[in-house]
Amino acid sequence: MEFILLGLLNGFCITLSRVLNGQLSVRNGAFHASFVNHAVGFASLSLLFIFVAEPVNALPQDLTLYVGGVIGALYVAVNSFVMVRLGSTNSIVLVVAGQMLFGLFIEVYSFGFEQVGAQLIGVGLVVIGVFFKGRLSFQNK
Amino acid sequence: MLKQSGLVLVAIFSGLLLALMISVNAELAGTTSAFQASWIAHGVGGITAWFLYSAFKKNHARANRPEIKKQYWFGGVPGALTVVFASMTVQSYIGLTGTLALALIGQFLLSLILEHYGLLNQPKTKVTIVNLLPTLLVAVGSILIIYGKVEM
Repeated sequence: MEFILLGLLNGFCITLSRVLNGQLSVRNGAFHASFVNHAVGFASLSLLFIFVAEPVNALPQDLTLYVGGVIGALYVAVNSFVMVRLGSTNSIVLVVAGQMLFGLFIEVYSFGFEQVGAQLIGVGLVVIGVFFKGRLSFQNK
Repeated sequence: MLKQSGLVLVAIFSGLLLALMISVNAELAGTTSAFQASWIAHGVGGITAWFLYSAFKKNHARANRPEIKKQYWFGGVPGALTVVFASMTVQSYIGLTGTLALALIGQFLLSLILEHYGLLNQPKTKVTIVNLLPTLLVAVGSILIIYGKVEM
């Protein structure tokens, strides 16, 4: 049970982080918000590193593994930009939709179609949900 | 309307970035650890964001920037905490799929609560069955995508 709560708390943290970054971007733009987010996150993780005292592994040589950080910088900026303009639930629903559909695409691309089962129904529901979300939220604007 | 639909596409595109980022960072975690991978990714991300910020900076005088609440500066803290929580739950009986599904539900839940009460400067949007429906559809669909893989 405690891990289920921890899992939910994890989700809470993601929303909290995105909403705060969005509000921060009001001050000095989305790239600034992304920079502050990463700097504060880096500092927090450095502190945690001291407390957790986990062994530090050698830095990987393969440079492509570092691209995640570059994408992350862009992601937080784009996300903060959208957050203050569409509202948090709209943004999160759309981001999750994009994430799920593209995540599945990566999976299919690397493992082929054989594994896709009930996931196709999921894709259908996500697409319908996004469509309704758009109709409901933006039809009168 | 056109502006709104443009933003919708941008939001969906950022989900694409997120999926790509998670996929690369998972590989990084494989060669190091979940913790260290996030630490490295935050470092690289910070440097990248600084370059982007410097390149596109509009030189507004400090005094002209809108005032915001102090707590808005600390989005990086919950951002860093997710790494810790996720690495704990992934190793528990919940596993990776459970972690993803619960994170998703948690995200939607807190966002709906924040908007329902208008917290953290969010526009107040009361939760009703009608405006909950699309969110539920995306949530259920996503959970099907997470759990629906055919066991081979």
